[in-house]
Amino acid sequence: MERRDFLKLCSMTGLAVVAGGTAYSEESQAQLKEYTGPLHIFIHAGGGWDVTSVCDPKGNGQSVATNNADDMNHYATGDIRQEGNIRWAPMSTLNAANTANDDFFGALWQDLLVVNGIDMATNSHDVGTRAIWAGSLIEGKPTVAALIAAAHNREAPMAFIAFGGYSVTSGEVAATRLGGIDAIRRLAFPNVADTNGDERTLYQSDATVERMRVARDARHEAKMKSVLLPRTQNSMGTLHLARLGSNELRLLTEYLPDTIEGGMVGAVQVAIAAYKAGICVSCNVSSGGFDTHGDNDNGVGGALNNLLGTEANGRGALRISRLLEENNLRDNSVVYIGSDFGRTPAYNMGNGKDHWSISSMLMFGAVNGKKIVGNRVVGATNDRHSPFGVDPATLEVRETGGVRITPGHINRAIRRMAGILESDVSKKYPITEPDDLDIIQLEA
Amino acid sequence: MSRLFRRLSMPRLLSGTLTASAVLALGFAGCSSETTGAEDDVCMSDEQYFAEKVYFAWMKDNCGSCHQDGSVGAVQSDFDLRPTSQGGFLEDNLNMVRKIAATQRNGKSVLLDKATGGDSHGGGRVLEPGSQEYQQLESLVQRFDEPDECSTTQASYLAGVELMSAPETLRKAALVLGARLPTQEEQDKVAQGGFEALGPILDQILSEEAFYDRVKEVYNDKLYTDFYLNGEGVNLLQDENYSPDWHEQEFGENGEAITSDDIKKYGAQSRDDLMNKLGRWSNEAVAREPLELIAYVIRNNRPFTEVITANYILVNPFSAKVYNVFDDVQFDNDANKYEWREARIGYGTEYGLPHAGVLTSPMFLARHPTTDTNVNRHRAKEVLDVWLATDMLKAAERPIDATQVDRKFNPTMNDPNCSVCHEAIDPVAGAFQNYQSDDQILFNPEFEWFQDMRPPGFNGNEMPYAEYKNALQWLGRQMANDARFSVAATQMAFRIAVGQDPAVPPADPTSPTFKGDLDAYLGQYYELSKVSHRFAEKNNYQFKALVKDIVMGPYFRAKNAARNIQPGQLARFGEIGRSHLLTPEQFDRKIRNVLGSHWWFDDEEGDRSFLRNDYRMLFGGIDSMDTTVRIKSPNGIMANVIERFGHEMGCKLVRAEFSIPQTDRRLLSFVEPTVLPEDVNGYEIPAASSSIKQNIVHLYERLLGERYAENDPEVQRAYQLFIETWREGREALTKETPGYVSWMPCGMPERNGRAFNYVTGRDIEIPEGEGAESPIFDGDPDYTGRAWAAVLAFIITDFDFVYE
Repeated sequence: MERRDFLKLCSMTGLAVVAGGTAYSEESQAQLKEYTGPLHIFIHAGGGWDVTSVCDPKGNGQSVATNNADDMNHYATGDIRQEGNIRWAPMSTLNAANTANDDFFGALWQDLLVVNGIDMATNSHDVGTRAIWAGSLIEGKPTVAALIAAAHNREAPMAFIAFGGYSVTSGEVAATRLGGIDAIRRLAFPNVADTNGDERTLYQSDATVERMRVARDARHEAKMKSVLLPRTQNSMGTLHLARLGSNELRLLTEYLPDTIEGGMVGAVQVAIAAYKAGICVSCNVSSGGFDTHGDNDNGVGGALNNLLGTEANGRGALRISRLLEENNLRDNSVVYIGSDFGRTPAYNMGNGKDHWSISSMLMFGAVNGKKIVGNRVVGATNDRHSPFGVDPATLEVRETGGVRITPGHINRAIRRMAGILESDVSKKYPITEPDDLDIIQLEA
Repeated sequence: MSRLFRRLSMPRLLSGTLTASAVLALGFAGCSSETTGAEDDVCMSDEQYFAEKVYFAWMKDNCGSCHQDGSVGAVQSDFDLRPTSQGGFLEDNLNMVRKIAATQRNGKSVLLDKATGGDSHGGGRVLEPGSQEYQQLESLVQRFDEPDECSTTQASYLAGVELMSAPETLRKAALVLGARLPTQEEQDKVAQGGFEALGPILDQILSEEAFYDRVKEVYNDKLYTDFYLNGEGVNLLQDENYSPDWHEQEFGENGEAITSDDIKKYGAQSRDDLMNKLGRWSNEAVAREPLELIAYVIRNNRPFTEVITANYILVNPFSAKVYNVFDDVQFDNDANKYEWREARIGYGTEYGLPHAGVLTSPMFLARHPTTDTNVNRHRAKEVLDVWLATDMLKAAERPIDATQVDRKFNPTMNDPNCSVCHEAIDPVAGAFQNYQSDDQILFNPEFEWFQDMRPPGFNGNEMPYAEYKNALQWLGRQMANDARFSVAATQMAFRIAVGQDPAVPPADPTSPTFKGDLDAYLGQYYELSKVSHRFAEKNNYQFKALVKDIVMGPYFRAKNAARNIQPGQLARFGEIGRSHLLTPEQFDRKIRNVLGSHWWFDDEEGDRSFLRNDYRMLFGGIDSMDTTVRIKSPNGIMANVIERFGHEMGCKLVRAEFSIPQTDRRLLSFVEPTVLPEDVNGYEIPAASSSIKQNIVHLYERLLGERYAENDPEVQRAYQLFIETWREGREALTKETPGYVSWMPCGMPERNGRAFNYVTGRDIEIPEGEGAESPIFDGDPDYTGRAWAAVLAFIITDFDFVYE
C-alpha cells in the first residue's frame, strides 16, 4: 500500500497517524521503514577536475618533478602511488600540504571502484554536470539521485536532499534544502508554540489539526475536479503530496546529532539522520575549486583536500566514509564522486589547465550488505589522456575499437545497482547508449 | 496551396474562453464575447509551417549538427542555423532558410539540391527524394515563392483556454506585482470600466515599491550581486580613488566626532548605532547598485536599453561618499538612503570611467570575476545570457570528441568543436579588455587585448580600434540594438509577472509527448515574440508597458480550460496556468500587505522576518553565492513552513482582530469572540450561526478571491471546522482536560513593546485602575479564538494563497 493510500485509510477509519506528544511515531515509523535500500550520496567536484591529478595519473615521464608546459603533469611518473590495482597522483610531492590523495586512497583503495576514460562529450560546465549525473547531454533530464529517490520513496519528506551539484528533478520528487537545527525543529513540530520550552503548548489540538487536514483534502479533491489546466493540476498535486509527508519530519529530530559540521559533511550528517528516520533515500553535495585555468597543481591539490579530505582536516569523502561507519551504514550506503569533465593534457601559459572532455569517477559502498567490488579499475586512457574503448562484454581495454565509456553507461549501471532500472520513473528517462556495460559489480 | 489546417474541434465555446478566431479578433485584450462555432480552420503562416513541419520535425537534428553557429558546415558554407538556446532563433533560422532556398543552381533551389546530396554537399544525402521530410521542405520552398497569406498566431495553440475577467485580472496583478489587494476604489472602477479601466490602475501598481522589489529579485536571480549584501561589497573598493570607510574618516574610527545632531539626522539611537548604520547603508548602496540601476531606469520610464548603455553609475548619499562623488551630486536629503542619483566616477582622476550601465558596475564585475586564462569569457557568457537571452552553455549540448581536437592550432580559434561557442563569446570577452584579473573592477584603458584570440567585437562585427578605450560602451550600444535584447527583457518580464521560466523546446521528436510539448512551446514562443516586438517597435523599450502587455496576455490571465475540451488536447496547455509557488520574498511581502502583519521573530538583532532569515533557504530561496537556483516545487519541509505560518499567524491575527473595534477590522468584521454558534443545550443560534458563515464568506473573498453563498459546500466545510473545534475546546475546558488552555498561545502585533492597532497604527489604550477591562484579546474562555484561528490557518495555507 502506498503511504498516500495508507494516510487516506487512516483518516477514513479515524486512526490518528500523528498523535501528539511522544506517541506519534509508532504507526508512522512502521510505514517509514519500508525503504531498506542504501543511502546514496553523490558528491560533485565542481568546475571540472583534473583526473590526472587524482585517479588517472600520468606524470611527466621523468623520475623527477618538472615544470614544462607540455607535461601531462608536473609530478614525476616514478612518484605515482599504487595499492593493489588502484593508482593515484602523488600531489603531496608538489605541495606537502596536499595529502588528500594519499590519505583518501590509502585508506579506501580496497573499497574503491575507479572508472577512467569516461567520454563526457562536452566541455561545458552546465552540460557536463548534467551529463555525469543524468546520463544525458540533453537539458531537463533528472539527476539519478532524484530518480532513485522517486522510485523508492517519492513521498518521503526528505527523499532527495539537494545540497549542490546537479539537482534537477523534472518534477519526479521534491528536492529538499537544509537549514539550522532550531529551524528544522520548529518545522518538524509546526503546531507546537514553543519548541524550546519545557511545556509543549499546542496552537491547536491534534483533533483540530486532523480536522484541518480533512477539510483541506476535501477542498483539494473538489478543486482538482474543476481545474483542467495540467500545469495547475500538477502544482496542486505537488503541494498536496508534500503535505502528506510533512508530519514525518519530526522523526528526523530524533536522529540529528548535537552538532552539525560545516560544508558537505554537515549536509551528509543531516542526510544520515533523515535516512535513519526513514525519510531520505539520496543526497547531492558538492565541493568546488576544480576549474583550474590557472595554477592547476596548487588549485586542484587544495580542492582535493576539501573534496576527498585529509586525515588532518577531517573533511570530504574520507570524513563521510567515517561518518557512515560510525552510524553502521557502511554496509548499506554508496558514495559516488564525479565532475563536469576533465582538464587538458598539458598546461596553459598560466600553469593552469583548460577544459577537456575526458573524465573519471569514483565509487565505494555496499547494497544491503553486498559490497561493491573494490580495488577495481574500469576503463583507461592513453599517455595523453585520450580514452581507450573497452570490450562491451568483458570490459577489457582495447588498444583500438571497443566501446567508449560514457555517462550514459555509468548511469545505467547505477540505476541497476539501485534497483530502479526497470521502474516506471526510470523508463521515462531511458538511457540511449546501446551497450550495457557491467561497470558496477557487487560481491556475492 | 491550402494554407489552412484543422486543429480543433470545438462544438461549443464558453464565455471568456479563447477560440482561435476570438484570439485573432481580440488580440487577448478583452475576450468576454460568447462564440459558438464549429471547427476552427486556422491559417498556418510560413513561420509556423517552418517550425512545425520542418525545423523541429527534422531540420534541427539533421542539419543543425553541422550547420549550427561555428560548426563545420556553418563555417564552410553560408547555411548557419542558430541554436534553440538563442533568443529569437526561429525567426533567424527561417530567414536563413529562406535566403538559402532563394539561391538556385540549374533551376533548382540549392536547399533542395544539397539536402539530397547534390551540389557537392559536404554532409552527403540528408533526405531521400520523395520522403515526407523532402516533401515538407519542398512545400516550404514553394511557400517562399508566394506571399504569406497568414500571419503567425498563437491562437491555434491556446484555443480553449479560459481567461480571467477584468476584476480577476486586477486582483491577480495587484497581488503578484503590488503584493497587495486591490483597493475598493480600484475594484469599483474595473467593475464598471473593464479592461479599459484596468490600464491606468496597472500603471499605478507598477509604480509601487513592491513591483520594483520584484524586479530586483528576478534580476538578482541572474546577476547574483545581492551576495555582497553580506558586508563585503564595500570592501572590494580598495582603490585609492574610493573611500570605503568614509564614515570612519569623517567621524573617527569609533565615531568620536559624532554630535547629537548627527544622531538625530540619521535616526540613530547612539554613536555606535550610527556608525553601524553608516557602514551598513554604505555597503548596501554599493552592493545594490546594479539592481537599483535597473529599477531606476524602469521607475523613470527611460528606454530599458539604458541599463546597459547608461553613462552613469547610481549612487545614494552613502555610496556617493564611498565613490568620492558626494560633492558632485545634489541630494534633497543626504540622510535618505532611498534617494538615488546619477553620478560619474573616476572623472577628475587619471582615467575617467566610461560607464555602460550594469556592464561596468563594480559589483557585476566582481561577482563574475575573470582569470588570466578565462580572459573575461565568463563575463561574456553572463551578459549574453542576461541581456540577449542567449545561453552559450546550452549551445555546447551537442556531443564533441576530445580526441579530434588538435591543440596545436589554437582550438578555440580553429576547431569547430570549440569555436561553436568561442566564436560568439570571445569577441564579447574582448569588450571587457579594460577590466582584467589583477583587480577585477579597476578600469584601465591601457590594457591590450590578446593577439591569439578573436578581436573584440560583437555578432560578427569587429570593434573599431578607436573604441578600445570605451569598449564596454561600444558593446552596450551594439547589444541594445540587437533584436535579442528585447527578447531577453521580455523573458525577464515574463518571469516577473507570470513567475515561471520561459519554456524550452522539446528535444526528442520520437517522444510520445512531443507534439503536445511542441504546441505548448510554440504557443508561448509566438506570444512572447509578439510582445517582444511591441516592446521594441511600438513601446520604445518601456519596461512597464512590456509588463502590462504580459499581464493582459493569456499566460498571466489563464485560469482554466474549457469544460468541453478533449483530454487529448490538454497536452498543448503544458506551459500555461497558475503554477508559481511564491518565493520566500514574495510570500513575506504578501503576508505583510495582505494580512497586514509580519511573520517574524524577535532576537538580539531585532525583528527579523522568518521567510527572509531562518526559513529563506528551507523555503527554496537562494543566497546568491553557493545556492543560486530556487526550488520551485514544495517538499515536506516547505509544506511545514506553510503549516507553521498558518498556525502562528492564524493565532496572532485572531488576537490582533479581536483586540480592536469591529469597524477597524479586516478579517473578523462580522463576529465577536462572544458570538457562539450554539446555546448551552447544543441548539443552533441562527443569528450567530449566520454571522459566522457571513464572516467565512468574507474571508474566502478577501484572502482567496473566491465568492460563495453561505450555503456553499466550501463555506460549510470551513464552518464545520469552526464549530467542531469550538465544541471540542469548550467541552475540554469545561472538563479541565489536560493540554487545553483558556488563553491564546501566541503573541500579538507590538510596537516598541506595546500592543497597537495593526490596522490604524495607533496604540491600543489600556485603561488603568482596578476592575478596568483591557481590550486586548488574551484569554479565550469560550474557545472561539482557537476556532477562528483554525479557520484562518485553513484558508491562508491554501494552494490559492501560497501560489500565484
